[in-house]
Amino acid sequence: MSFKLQLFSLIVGLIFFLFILYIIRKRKLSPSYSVLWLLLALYLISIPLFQGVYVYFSRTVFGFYAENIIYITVIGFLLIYVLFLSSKVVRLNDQTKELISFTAILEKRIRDLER
Amino acid sequence: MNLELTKTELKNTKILVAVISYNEEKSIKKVYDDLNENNFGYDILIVENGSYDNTSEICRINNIPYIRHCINDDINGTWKSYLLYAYLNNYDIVCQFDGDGQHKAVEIHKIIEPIIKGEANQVIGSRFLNNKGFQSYMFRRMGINLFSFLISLIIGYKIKDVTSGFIAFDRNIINFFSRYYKNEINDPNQTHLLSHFSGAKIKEVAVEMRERQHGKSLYNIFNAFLYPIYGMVNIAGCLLIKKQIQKEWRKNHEL
Repeated sequence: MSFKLQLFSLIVGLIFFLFILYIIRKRKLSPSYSVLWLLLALYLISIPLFQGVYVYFSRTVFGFYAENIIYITVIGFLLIYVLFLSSKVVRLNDQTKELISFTAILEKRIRDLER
Repeated sequence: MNLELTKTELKNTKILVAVISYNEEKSIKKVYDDLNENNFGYDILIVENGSYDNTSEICRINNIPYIRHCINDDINGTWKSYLLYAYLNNYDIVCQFDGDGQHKAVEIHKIIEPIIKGEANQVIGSRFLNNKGFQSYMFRRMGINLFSFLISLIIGYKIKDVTSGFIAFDRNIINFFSRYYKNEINDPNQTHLLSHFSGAKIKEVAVEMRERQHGKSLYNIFNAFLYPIYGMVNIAGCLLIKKQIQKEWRKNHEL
């Protein structure tokens, strides 16, 4: 990695990290979601800082370039996160349906009582 | 009507006829009158799926019992509602009925009888058994035949009219769908499969249907191609959770 690229990725990582902190402070992200995102931001920052470690690790253990390890880990993280989110969506969807039915039935009960 | 058979049993079974409707202000009164004329002791409930016309207003003025969704839930949202309603009000049998005038109230006893006699847990009113009355359109029939084939293959006995909206459920299935199975259901094929997995016996009975008088079909030319694909995915999804359902439901059921 050239020095320019290193600096660029460090800045991007820091902005990302600070932005997540800002969002958490504004309470737009619940704690359980925010921890995962913070971990990803820390990981992104750590890439230019500890470049040597990653290069050594990827060469000795997996035998390919450090960039590939970075891509694979980030994509893996995103995949897991999307899966997590879609399971949440399914849950919310089911709960909404349940609520629609239940409010409809309760509304009928109120109407019957008012009569 | 050969109701003499069931008259004694009718006294201690609570039956609900749930009329599902979405934007059917023109036909809903007619359907209700039709049901009321042929009433042999069932309760009627209109389940109105968040229409933007005056369906609920007409129900209110005419003193028709109805429940109204605050927002439009998709195709099978109404289904969830009336099963939950039946569960909460301790009904023994629920019969689904269409609000667009397709079904005939005279034939309700036909699909309820097998349940009262204990021959089946779920009864489907089929328009293809004796090929009388309105037979649906060609493309739709092709789709129905395909899914009929698939479902019959999985279940192990023949079911012809898989998309029929004229169905009756007994207490077991009401319990199953309102208490245990909370996930969404996207099409009627899934219903048949899931209730089969829960241990229910499904029976088909010949009925006659009319062509709809008002309102539009749920299936138009655009999703004619997509619908079979969705249907396959849904069936595959059901098969994936088969084991889990059987295990958990049987465990709960014995308690």
